[in-house]
Amino acid sequence: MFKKLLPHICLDTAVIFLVLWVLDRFNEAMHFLSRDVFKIPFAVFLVLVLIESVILIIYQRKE
Amino acid sequence: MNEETKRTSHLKKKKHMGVGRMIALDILAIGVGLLIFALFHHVLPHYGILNGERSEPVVLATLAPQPTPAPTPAPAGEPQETPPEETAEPARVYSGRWGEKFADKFTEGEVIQTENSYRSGNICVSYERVEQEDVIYFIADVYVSDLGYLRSGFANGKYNGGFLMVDEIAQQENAVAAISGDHYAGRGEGVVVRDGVLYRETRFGDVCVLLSDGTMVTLTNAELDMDDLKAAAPYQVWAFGPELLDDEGHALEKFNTTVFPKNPRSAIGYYEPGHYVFVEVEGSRPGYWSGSRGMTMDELAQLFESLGCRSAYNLDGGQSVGFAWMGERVSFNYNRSIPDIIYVADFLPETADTAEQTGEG
Repeated sequence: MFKKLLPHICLDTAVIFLVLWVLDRFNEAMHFLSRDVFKIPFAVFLVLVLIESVILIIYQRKE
Repeated sequence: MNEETKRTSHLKKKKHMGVGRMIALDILAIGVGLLIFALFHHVLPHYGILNGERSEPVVLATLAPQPTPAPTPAPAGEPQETPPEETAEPARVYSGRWGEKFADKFTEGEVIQTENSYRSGNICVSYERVEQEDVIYFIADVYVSDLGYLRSGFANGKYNGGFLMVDEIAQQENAVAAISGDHYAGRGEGVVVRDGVLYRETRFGDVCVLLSDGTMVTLTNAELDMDDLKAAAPYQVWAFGPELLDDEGHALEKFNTTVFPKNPRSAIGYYEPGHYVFVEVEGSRPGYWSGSRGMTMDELAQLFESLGCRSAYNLDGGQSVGFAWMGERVSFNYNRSIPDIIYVADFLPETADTAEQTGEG
């Protein structure tokens, strides 16, 4: 289940961060990217991408 | 198709949902994610949740009533003989700790008011509207005889009390002159100390500290030590920034901000204890033409350097800016309500002590 959900979590989170990045370009004073409310989920996102990448590499090597 | 193939096919159908449904669910998840972000970034901090608010505000500084200086005594030794025919003039009574220092600015008690100035025994405030090639700004020169006359005001009179226009808060506080503050409620971070009370202690960029002795300093985030700050008994701490001048009073060349372009600005400057300046720069945004293009951060810093300030600090700009005189807005109206102002009033706030005295009296 987790393996199936992980790509979607990464995909959705990446889109969310891209939206925030675009918003931040328009209104930097809102500090969308510089607060903990962004930084902590971003760190979690990086870990998830790491896990997903490892899974994908293992899968490709098995094929 | 045998029985086993049918079963496998059925299972396969269950395993993979349709592409359209999958995309719809992903979009839904993205929407939910953005809503959750907005909840934590905007909504909860606005109500003082999850943003370092103190459950109980802490009083860090109280302004002790300043004794009126006694008239200078006559030199000891030789007895002073007053000629009987001359009537000695009563010694002037000065208000507050800086009343004598700025005696030429204050009156002996009466109020002298013009269209753009106000003088009394306690404060002396005057403002000027400066119009240059493509910029318009207001400068309010502020002398106070005691720090209690320079205060912060919250919309509706309380922390997290909502948002009002700058002139509405100025009327509520009976302010002589007022500018928009640091818009503390627009963020969940940033130290908030107002009139000696600590409301929030999470860090956010540069801070401006007005100490109880009347000195005003600006600190970068790296220079800020919360324990030292609390021990210093600050009277006001504003958190928006950036700081504009270096320790020598020269305009900085690099600023801790991302908002550099020409913009409406609101800022406060400091000359010496008891003497401050408010600056409000008009600016234009899409749909709002005030006749002024605003100032870059460099231009704002250079303005404070040219004024001769020892420290200066940028407050919330953009459409939040506003300057009110005698409760009336005189600057361009961007129709944005704000949570706080910095203002000068001609009376001291009622403290527990004074309330008690009044009750006894």
